[in-house]
Amino acid sequence: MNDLVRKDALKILNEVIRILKIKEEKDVLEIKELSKHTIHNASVFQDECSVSIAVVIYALSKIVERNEQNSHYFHVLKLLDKARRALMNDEEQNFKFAIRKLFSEISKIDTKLKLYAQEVISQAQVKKGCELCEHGLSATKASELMGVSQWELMGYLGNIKPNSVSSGVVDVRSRLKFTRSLFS
Amino acid sequence: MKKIVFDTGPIISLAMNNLLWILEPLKKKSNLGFYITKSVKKELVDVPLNKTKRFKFEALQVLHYIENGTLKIIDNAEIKNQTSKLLSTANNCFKAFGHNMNLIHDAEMSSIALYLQKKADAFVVDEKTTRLLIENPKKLHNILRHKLHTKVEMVSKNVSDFRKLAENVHMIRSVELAVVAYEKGLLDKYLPDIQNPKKTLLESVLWGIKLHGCAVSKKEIEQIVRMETR
Repeated sequence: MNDLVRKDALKILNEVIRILKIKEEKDVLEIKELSKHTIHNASVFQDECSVSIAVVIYALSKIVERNEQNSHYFHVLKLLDKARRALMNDEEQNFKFAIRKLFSEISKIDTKLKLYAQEVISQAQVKKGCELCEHGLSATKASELMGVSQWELMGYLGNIKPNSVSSGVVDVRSRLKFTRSLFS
Repeated sequence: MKKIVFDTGPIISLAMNNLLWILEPLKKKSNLGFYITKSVKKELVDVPLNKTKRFKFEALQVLHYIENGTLKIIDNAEIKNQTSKLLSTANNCFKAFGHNMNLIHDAEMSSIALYLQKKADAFVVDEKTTRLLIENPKKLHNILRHKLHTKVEMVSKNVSDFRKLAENVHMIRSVELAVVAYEKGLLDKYLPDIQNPKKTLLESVLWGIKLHGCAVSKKEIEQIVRMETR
């Protein structure tokens, strides 16, 4: 595992454990902010660790947001700690195992909440895939990395803020004129 | 016969807006050939049919237009070789943390390889990354730097090599296709019996396409509507 990826993942895990340990009003905001930072390494390194951390943190932010009344994350915290220790000891297999368990635990909580039709893990994959596109990856590349179909991504991509939508050097009038010439 | 190559995105944008059908009359009226690669077909049809429960019906609609010959699949060894060359050049254009940034997928590059092989007339692509890499790599560099908050190196030689390979690729988007369909009266059956029916129809179509992933700005939509309805 790349050392920078490992160190950054450790920082993120330490931070999310700190946030989840003590229930505070600012928890949702803090996890959401943390989730934004997870996408940078996923964009550059595109490795399993960065991608799974990005998905886990976003999914946790949704769970915390949906589950404000009940904030007992004993099992989640235990697994986050396992993942953290595995990273500290550079035990990649154990890290992957802890992350798989985390996905499963998050899905269990999600099923209990039954608040939304879309599963939180797949929602996280699509959302993070969309962010990868905002960070410059092509839509097909982003969907491949997140393990979702491009169909799922396209609906979310339409919600990207207007200032993130870039035009090329060709203005719309010329592109339209060229298109008309094809169909004349 | 003029030839147009499609990427995955525009077909999805059209299908999600129930506009896939415009391809058939557009093709027939103008004697055009519409082509996709095997990788694009995989994203459009095989993945939703085999891996997810969602979008299966949309995939079947796309498959219908493949089976009736509106969209023709082309796949051969030359495309595969050219795809690898294009992909390796494109994905070595930018570096962050000393690491090559793999921005582009096989499907997009296979479409460009097909375009070059067929000496096609246009490549329909909705997403911004491929388009910017060909038309405006500096802008893509700025986006990467701004979004990643880190130093991103643009490898000028590779950018220039890629642009040389793709220099004659003319790109359009699904919005431009929809505007031509509107101009040809293909969408007239949707004209509402309200004030400004044409403007309402055009705006609704363009926004629908944008909201299903076509990289078109609000400003561009407003400009198109102004041009078409004055």
